[in-house]
Amino acid sequence: MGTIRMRKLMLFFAFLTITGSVAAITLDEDYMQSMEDRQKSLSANIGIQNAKGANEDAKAMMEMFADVSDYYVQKGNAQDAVDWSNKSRELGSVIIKYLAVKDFDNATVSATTMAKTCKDCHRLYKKDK
Amino acid sequence: MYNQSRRDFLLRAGVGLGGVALSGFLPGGGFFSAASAAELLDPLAPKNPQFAAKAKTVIWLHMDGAPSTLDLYDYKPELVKLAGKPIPESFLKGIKTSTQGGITKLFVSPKRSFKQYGDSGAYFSDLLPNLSQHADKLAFIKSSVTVGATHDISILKLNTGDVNPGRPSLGAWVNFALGSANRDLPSYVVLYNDDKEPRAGSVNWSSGFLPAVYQGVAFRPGDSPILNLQRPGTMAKIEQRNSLDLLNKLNQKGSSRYPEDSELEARIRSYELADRMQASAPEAVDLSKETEATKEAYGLNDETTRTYGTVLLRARRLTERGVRFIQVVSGPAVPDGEFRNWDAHSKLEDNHSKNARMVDKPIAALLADLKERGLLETTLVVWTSEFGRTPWGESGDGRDHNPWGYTQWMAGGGSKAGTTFGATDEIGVQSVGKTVDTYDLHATVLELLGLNHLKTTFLHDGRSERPTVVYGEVIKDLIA
Repeated sequence: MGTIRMRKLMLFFAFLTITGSVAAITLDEDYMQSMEDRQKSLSANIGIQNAKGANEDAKAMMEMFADVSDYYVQKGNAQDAVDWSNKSRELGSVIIKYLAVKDFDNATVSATTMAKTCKDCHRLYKKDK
Repeated sequence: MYNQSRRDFLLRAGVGLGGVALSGFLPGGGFFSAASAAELLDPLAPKNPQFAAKAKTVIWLHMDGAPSTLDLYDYKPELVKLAGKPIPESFLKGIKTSTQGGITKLFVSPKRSFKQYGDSGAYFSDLLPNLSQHADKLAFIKSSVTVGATHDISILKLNTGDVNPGRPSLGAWVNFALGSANRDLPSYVVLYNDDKEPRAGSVNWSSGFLPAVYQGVAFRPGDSPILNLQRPGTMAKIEQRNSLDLLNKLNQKGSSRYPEDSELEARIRSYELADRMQASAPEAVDLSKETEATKEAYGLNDETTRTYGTVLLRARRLTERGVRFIQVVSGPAVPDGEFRNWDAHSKLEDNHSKNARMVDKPIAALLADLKERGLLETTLVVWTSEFGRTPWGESGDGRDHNPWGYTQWMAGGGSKAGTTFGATDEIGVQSVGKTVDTYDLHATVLELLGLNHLKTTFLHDGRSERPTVVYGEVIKDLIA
């Protein structure tokens, strides 16, 4: 009896762990707007060579793209959106490397590519107003 | 800071320049921007490009209403084959349509025919008999894309890079980056062949957050291009000159007491410009000295082409006089007629035959004229519109808006003549391969002017802004 109860408890805690780590992600217009704002901030900070600010923006973008990727993985049947999100995360990482050596020109190019990747995804997945 | 009492005095002084939109010449539109002090003192001083420019002038030909390039340049044998049938689903993958009444059958006008021209073998339809003769001058962009299903929004994006008002137009950025090459004329002029300004409004030639001095100046049709520019009959020229000299004297006193008041200096400069423009602006648009052969070539002797031909001939004259950016918006083919522009949701054949007749000969004449005068090499002509039109019909004999794939072209100014970049699918729904968005077009135009779009920046509210927002890629294949 004790063993069965222990097993049930273990299963119960395992269930809590699993459901706790797969929280539902919502991508609504506000979230997307904050991504766009952050994207513009990134571009602007690179433009004025504010490495610290741009670094913060790039890290924030990487986290956001991770959310976007998770969302579309959960949604299913949206591999291209997952790929674009992951590509954008990589670009965030590349930007951070460029910022570390103060290569703002290449950081700008990468930020522009990131913005274009957003547009590619929007073309298919952005809801019309 | 500025001296309020002096400003009020100037406003009430009545120097005889009437309702000239002088606020348009004020840097910052009334308050300080982040422009440097030197720029505020002389914001239109000529500036060197960042690297060697291929073009000095842009003539931006906006076909208002969005022509169907499927009926002008984009020959699609598959579309002809499938005409009258439903569109295969595969062509609609990845796009969201909103055609009123739903997507109907594929449409081809029974009158449409295409031929190839020039060494480039570019296709032109029967609607462009004159422009087709210049096939080898054009660099086609056949994978154009944009966003927006409504004209005003997409026109705004075409001109400013954003679907919301507030950003500078491309011409304003050029004006900001390069300054003026002729201090007697505005450096950025807007022309149109209609009795009212283009319907999408002055936000399309606005300076946005750049100092107001960089906005476009709309030249009206007619002999007097700017309203109230001329001195009133009750004021003699000497009186006007004396008023301006008095202002200058006051300014000298003011400058020493308020050295930070560069807005005042800029306002005084705008009065001086308006004074000079009283002579230079009418002369620039006066066609009386053009030869009869030139007028005939531009179609001034034919009512169908007269108004648009007049505007393009003015554009050539402004080019000769150093105007940097000339934004031309097409007007109605028939004044008070049924079609205000190219927006053919129905009756496409009638609409496009009239609009094409209006522009075909004048545009061909412009290209030939620029070439003959040795100006084409340094003048970038851009033929553009807010989007294209769908291969499926609407209202039986029209086409709906198509932002997913359409055609634009460039000529002169260092563009790669006789070439085509990009393509759409077999029936002209979507671009395939590398697309060219409005930002990419802007980036490429700026590149030809010797400006790197990533480094043409302005500090606004602590943020570095550039013409291409956060996007844009130079399409090197379009550059010779």
